[in-house]
Amino acid sequence: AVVREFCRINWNYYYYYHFSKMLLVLTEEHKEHLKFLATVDVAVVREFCRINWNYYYYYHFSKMLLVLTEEHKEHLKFLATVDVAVVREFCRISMEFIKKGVNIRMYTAAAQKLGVDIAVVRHGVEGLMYLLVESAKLMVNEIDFLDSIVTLGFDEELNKELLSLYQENSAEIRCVLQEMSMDLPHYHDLEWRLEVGMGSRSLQQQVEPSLILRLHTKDGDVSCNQVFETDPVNLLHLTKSLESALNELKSQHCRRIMRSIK
Amino acid sequence: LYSQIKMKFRFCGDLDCPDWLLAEISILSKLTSIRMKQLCSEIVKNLLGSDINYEQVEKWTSKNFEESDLKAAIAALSFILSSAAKHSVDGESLDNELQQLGLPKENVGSLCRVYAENIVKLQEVFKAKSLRISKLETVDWRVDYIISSGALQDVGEPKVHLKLAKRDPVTGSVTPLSFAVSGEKFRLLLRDLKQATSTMDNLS
Repeated sequence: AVVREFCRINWNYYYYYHFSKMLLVLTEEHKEHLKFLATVDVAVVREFCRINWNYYYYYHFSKMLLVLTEEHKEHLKFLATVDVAVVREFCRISMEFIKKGVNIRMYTAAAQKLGVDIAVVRHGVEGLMYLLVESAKLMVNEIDFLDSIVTLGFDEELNKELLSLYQENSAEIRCVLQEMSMDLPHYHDLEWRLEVGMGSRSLQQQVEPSLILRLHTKDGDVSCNQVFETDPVNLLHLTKSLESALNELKSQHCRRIMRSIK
Repeated sequence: LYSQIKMKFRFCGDLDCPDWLLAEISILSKLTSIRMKQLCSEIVKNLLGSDINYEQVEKWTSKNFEESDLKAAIAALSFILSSAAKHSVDGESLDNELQQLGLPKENVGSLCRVYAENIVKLQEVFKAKSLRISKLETVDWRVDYIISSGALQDVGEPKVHLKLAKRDPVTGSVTPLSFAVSGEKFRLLLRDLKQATSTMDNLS
């Protein structure tokens, strides 16, 4: 039994020695601070651990908390004064507007039905749209979203409603935002034609090969096309340049950058 | 296995077969020869100008194909048929080459039969789709005789007015181009055009 005990101790030492470069070295100050935990009982230590974890979580993701301006909060406060079915309707309208654009007639219809001013309805819907778009833009997670809207002082059900609206639609909103970003024209198509000039008014009996190219580009909805002509030598040069551009993607430098982005 | 196939294929224009096509061979092998024939007929119709009837095609292949597999099969067959027609490959050579790629014999047989029936039509359509800068639609002319003008009392000159209508193949719009030519200049123009026509005739 003693031998067994010796073996166990030996194994632990081996373990520690082998991995000792991963032992933390605590400074004296750090040890002083942690000594407090020995003076309280286990339940308190458990509580400290829980608080600690939450703080870590918030610190790590705190940059994604939305900060709502006072004006924004004012506009959204209207949603607390109506009942949940109306809020759901407002949510649906906001998503429609985000996808397809604002329709002013909806504001007047809603204002009449609820018996409030058009401006209040408009602010409510716009505030909701802004909240959704900003949350989707920053990829706010569930907890941060709830924390951001808790400053509005809504009740539980309304908060849950807004959260479910956000979660259902964030992917779609991100798609819409992506389409709106600044972009250069995209390559769409390249048509080509090889022809041989047999003669002209000034010189007959020629053999002049040439390539005519039509490059189609698209910039959102606008298509553009360019016609240009090249001779075979230039075409070889063009293909070589494009191939070397493609090979650059496989170089070490590019691979390192793509790995670090992923 | 597929990475070792580095031969030149006529239907790819005497180049290597593209890697993505090799990757889809296993999906194409899953089709029965009847389904292959039906799918190829749809694709030929699409290449000739009409749209693919996706619901019908999905019904044919719903048993063993997912949506992405179906899209891959359509892309692969479309490439094979259009590339072979582009390079004027005959049915037998296409048969041999596809079998070398690993497609089963019956599938290749039905594909090549559909191809051989339609190669002439495909080539006609591709020829019409070829790049063209602009097309001449109509030529209108009018000969006027100028009797006199403010500068000279007795002019007595004929004048030809020409209106050429030019069609832009990309937008389909027709733009008119009108100009006037004096008698002498018009004779020169006619002579040059006749020279160009005789050069063209010598070629054919």
